[in-house]
Amino acid sequence: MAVEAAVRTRELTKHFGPTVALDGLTLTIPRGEVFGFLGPNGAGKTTTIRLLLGLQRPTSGSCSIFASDSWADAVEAHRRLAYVAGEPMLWPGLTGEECLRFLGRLHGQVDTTYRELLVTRFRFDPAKKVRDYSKGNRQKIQLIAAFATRADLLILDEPTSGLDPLMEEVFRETIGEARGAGAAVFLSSHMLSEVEAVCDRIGILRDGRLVEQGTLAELRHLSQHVVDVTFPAEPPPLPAMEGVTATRIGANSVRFGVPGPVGPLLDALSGTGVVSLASREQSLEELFLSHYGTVDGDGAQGG
Amino acid sequence: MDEGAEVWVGRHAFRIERVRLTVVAAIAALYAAANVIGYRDTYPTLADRVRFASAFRGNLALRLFYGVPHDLASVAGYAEFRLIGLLSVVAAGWGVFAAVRALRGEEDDGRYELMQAGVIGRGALVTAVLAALTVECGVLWLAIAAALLLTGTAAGDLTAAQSIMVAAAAALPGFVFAMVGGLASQLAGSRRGAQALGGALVAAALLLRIAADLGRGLGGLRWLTPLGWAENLRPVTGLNPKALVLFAVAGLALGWATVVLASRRDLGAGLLATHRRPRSSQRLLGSPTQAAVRAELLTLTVWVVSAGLFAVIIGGFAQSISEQARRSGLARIAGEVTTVHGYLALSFVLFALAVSLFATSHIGALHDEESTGRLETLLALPVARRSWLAGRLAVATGSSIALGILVGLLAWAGAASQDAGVGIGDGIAAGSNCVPVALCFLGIGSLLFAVWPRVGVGAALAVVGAGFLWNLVGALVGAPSWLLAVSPFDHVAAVPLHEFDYPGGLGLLAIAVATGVAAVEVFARRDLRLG
Repeated sequence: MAVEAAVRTRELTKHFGPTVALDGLTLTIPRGEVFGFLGPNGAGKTTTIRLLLGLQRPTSGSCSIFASDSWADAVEAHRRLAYVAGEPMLWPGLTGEECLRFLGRLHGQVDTTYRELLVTRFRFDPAKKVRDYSKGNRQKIQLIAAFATRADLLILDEPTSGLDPLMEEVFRETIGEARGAGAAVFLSSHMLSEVEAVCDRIGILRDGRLVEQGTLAELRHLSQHVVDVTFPAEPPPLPAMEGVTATRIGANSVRFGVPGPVGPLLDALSGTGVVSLASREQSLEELFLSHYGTVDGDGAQGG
Repeated sequence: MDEGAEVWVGRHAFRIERVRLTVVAAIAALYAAANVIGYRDTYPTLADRVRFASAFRGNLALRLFYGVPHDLASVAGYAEFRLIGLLSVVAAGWGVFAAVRALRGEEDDGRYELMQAGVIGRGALVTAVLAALTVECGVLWLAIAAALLLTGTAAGDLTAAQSIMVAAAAALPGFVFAMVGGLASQLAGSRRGAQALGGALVAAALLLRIAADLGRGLGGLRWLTPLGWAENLRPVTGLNPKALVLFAVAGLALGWATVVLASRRDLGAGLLATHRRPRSSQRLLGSPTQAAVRAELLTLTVWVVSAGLFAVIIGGFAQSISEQARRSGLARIAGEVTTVHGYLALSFVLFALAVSLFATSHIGALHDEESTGRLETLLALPVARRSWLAGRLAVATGSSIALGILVGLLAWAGAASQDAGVGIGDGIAAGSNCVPVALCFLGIGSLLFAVWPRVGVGAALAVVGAGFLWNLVGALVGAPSWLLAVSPFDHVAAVPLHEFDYPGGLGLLAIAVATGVAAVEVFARRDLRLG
């Protein structure tokens, strides 16, 4: 039997007037998987989440949560998920405890013992009014309320903004528990370290389009080796090699980006009197940059 | 960079108020123009005017609402009396709440975080907001002045100086009370607290003015409040520049005190705020509708107390005002209005407006829920859109019915205390009579919210204001009856003088239900506004 899909979207598209916020997103997230949804601000991450939650209606295409249509069967879909918004928007007049109970009662399914544990684990003081909490503490209310539902799907939009590093660690631990219990997690983020640490699979969104999708290992294949070479003097001319890029990083130094095996580069370098050579794998950070570029927004290197 | 931040704060304060300010200024200008034109057309000859003046000169009901008339036999004198009396109260109420919104509201919503970042000092920020509020009062002043110049001065009925000064007397209480709102924002610990404190001060000023205008030998009380100063300015019937000095001194002193207090307190704190830990309670947190009831109780209490106070006063004067009207010969002109029941029916037109504004203010809470993103939090839970909006509308409906009936009962209590011969049934009937029109506006407002979420509550309030104004002005300018019937207020019968207008009242309720149902259906189908 196939694993039940927590999230399934098909050609999901959303236009706001002339702006295309999301363009043909097709995605499946099975239970037990932590899916990292990466992209810069304005790429369409939040739009995707609002479509998944049925807060906005797709222009075309469809999306469903455990086979319930996000728009038409929103309430049914919401019984099986818990959502954490990027900006914690709660009721300023309620206390933290009232807020947790309110969110719990509205969701209808709460593991109160686990909630107590989470309150302790996140070191949260629930006795203050929401308006008196810092952003990080308001974020904790949302996280505790969401995890305490033990929902089959967690939809998290930049959930750790405002949390200190210690709490990020707690957050990762709790995500691990949810996955262990068979929940699917949809984690939207622009923090690569977070995604690298907790996600099984990653999708990269750019200008409303999903440009890459795969496991961390698969995406690494897209990555290059970075080889920094220092010559005794002015770098000598080298024969052109397919896909290899060369960038001057010093008077006598060149950085090579090598998409495939490094053997041909080493062959070409032999006999040039290389002073030093350092080779490493491209980090996810650099992979990310190579997809979004820095200057023209297009900067795919080595291409 | 500091200067840039101050400019930003000032413009931001102006921006969040611009729609409300436009509505208030437009209504004030229309009211000014309508009074000038209406008086001129209704009493074209000097003989008409003298007859009108002698009949109404000693009328206590008019004094209650507008103050003491000094010259009712000329357009200029009438404008002074009618415009300053009512518009100064409108300006005061607007000023105090605009200041709390711009200072405490924005602070509570965390929109002044640049202050925490140290880009701008608290004192400088508050100064910038108060400056913006002063400019806004200037806009209100210019709008009223323009209306008077165009309708009064152009026809030779008021001098340009009189037009400008009448407008100033109407708008200046807005300036002083904006500073009062600024001070309340520093003293109270929250937006709610600041609104309650500021609102209570406006109400107190109004009660003092009423006492000064109605009580024998209490005229000196007028020098105690900005509303009294506006009345004492008398730009047409004997300019008293002392009042102008008082406005300037009070406004600047309050503004200075606000800035001083602001620079001394912590962000989010209030000098009168208590620091006890709040108690958590699980009452009324089982559904979004229950939570709305929880928030509603305080709002309803504030409205019942403030509107109820007026109702008691109006009821309390019923006997003496109608008696006095009969003696003055007013009965020959105004007929049955001079009976106790007629007087109550006339007064309750104002409560129909108050209950309508109260009902419509709930649309503001819906907008607030959506624009802050709290609605997103709610609707991402297993909460159906239809039941959310229907629940909120049900709470607003129940609350409006309660307000209407309570106001009626309080007016009865006031009248009964003076043995005015008003039955408890009359009070309940007069109060209930305010409800259908209020629900009609609630329905229309909810449909506006569903269809145009970006327009905001200003549009819904403008519909109420326009309806009320048209009801006042339409007949004066001789509009045909089918055009008058466009205003929902046209279908509010003069209860308890007449019977409840069943076709009209049921028609209003039918519109309320139809627009409410349409709103729920439209809302269920539209995109949520981005937070």
